Amino acid sequence: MSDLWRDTVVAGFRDTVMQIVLVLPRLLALFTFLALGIMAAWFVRTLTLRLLRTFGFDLFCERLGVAQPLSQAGVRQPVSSVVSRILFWIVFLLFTFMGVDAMNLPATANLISQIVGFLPNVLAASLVLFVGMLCANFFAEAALIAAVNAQVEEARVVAGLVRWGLLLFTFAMVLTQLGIAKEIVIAAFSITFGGVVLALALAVGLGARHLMRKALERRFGHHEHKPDELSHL
Amino acid sequence: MTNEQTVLGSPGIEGEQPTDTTEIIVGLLTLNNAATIESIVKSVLEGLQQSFPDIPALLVNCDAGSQDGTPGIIDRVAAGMVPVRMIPNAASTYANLTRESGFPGRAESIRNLCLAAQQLQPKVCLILEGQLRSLSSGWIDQLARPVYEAGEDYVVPLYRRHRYEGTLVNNLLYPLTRALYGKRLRYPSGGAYGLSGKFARDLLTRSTWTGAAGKFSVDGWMTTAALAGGYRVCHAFLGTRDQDTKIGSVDLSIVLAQTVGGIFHSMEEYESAWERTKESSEVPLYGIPQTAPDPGPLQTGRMISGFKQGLRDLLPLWELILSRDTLGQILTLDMQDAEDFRFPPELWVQTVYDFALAYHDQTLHREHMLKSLTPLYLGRTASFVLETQDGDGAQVDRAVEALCRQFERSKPYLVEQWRWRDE
Repeated sequence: MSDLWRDTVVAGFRDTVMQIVLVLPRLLALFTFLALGIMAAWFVRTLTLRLLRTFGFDLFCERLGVAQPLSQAGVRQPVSSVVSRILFWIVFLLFTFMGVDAMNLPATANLISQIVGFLPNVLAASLVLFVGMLCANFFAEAALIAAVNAQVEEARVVAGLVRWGLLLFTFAMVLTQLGIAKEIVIAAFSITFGGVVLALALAVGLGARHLMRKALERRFGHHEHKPDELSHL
Repeated sequence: MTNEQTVLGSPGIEGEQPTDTTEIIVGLLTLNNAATIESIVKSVLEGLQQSFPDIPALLVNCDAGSQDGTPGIIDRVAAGMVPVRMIPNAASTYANLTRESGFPGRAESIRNLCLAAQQLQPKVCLILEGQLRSLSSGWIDQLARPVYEAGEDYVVPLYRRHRYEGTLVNNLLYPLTRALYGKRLRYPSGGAYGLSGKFARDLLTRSTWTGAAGKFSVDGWMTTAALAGGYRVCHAFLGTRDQDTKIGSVDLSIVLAQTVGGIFHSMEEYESAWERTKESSEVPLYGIPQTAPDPGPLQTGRMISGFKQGLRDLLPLWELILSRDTLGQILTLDMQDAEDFRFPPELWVQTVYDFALAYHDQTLHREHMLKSLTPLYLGRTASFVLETQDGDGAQVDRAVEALCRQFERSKPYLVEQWRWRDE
């Protein structure tokens, strides 16, 4: 009886020690990856920041109109800083995933391969988002200036509609690219877009038909063009 | 065969050949001008007959794609009197339909004329637009004689105008060009020009015909090319200008972007020329200028409301373009009543120079930046009208002169800031 008890205790102790001995290197590997991740991420961040600042990336983004929407969204840092921070977290997360993978846990098996397989979608979506934001900003700015110069009272509303219309379209494309609730996104976009167009058609057709008639007559009608009171040139 | 060799194209109906000693080329820039071209050609022929009877001349029709038989009319009217050559524009003429002159393909037509000048080496090259109803035989003498006899290189026309015609010229284009290049040459409003053969040939060597500069006003850059190149420039008074296409029918912001943008663009090209120029001098004037009757009181309410709307809606853009000091002063203008509204000349000059610097820096998309100047220009114009409405034409001239001097006085600020940005 006592032998059986002793063997069981010894076996249990030995198994636990063995398991600890087996886990320890993996834990060590995890912490090593984390430490390496922090160092690599810090290096990438510093290098990126310096390179971007050397090449005047912040000024470039200001010209492209990227900095302004970020500032309006509450991001007060320069774009170079934001980009380098994003890269920091990407590098750090990659090392963290390597560490988790090294743990060889059943729950996280194939994690890295899944993430790497998804990366092209993320990159494509990021590009779509970037270009979409640029376009939204550019066309909203153009619409704002044109509306102000035409002395349209609701110039900012017009510019806002252009900006948010393009952003809505961009977000729908990004979500579709990422494969997140594809059908729902397409349906929601179609309903929203169709709804807006229908609402505008009703507003013009019912509420502002006289105004529209006059505007169309002004634009396409055969009438004497009334020149400006002033000749500027 | 190169384009230069073949540019003169086909002869007119009568097939008269230009001689090797052609001394005057009269370039007619046309696009669907059947309604006006017959009287123009008759006036040109009469002018040549009266003023230069024994001088070999050639009529060159640079057509931008007329569909109404304009070139045929020219051939018919000039037949047997002066050799005629037709140079059609290339198919790409309509790439940019909206021009401040209201005439698409004009720059290419002028380039074709310069190519003809390169081929024939004339002494004088006249540019006449096909929509000018008021062109008389006297114009030929006024434009060609300063070049032919007095050795001028570039003759800019002056027209009979009332005191508020050309507010953009008076408040921006002329003072800025004068301060930059040191010659009191009015910014040209198109219609007709006289060029020496040398200057016409030199224009061909400029890069301005193509690329980004191609979208700017050809009149503006021809003028800056003459001024920066040290050519002899002068004015010729031509009388009343009456034409088919109204310049005012083109959107003001497009006019601003093309004309002001042209000057700003030239500032990059001729940096060394304008940076060292300190004062301005008069240019010769041929003819006696006259002014048209007063147009009566002008309404400034819409201009002021345009300015105030710009202040309300475009402020985020102006914050990027204007210096803190300039913007601070502009913000105070919002407080003024419509009757007492004033946009001081010093502030206007500072505003224009800040825009030039922002254009140089590419702070914003350049076309957006130039178009965002429109409300500020409207504010300045309203102020200009309100300042001078109780006076006469002479008071307007004094106000323009004072503004020009302000542009010249403030130029060191522009030069200093420009250099600082380049470092």
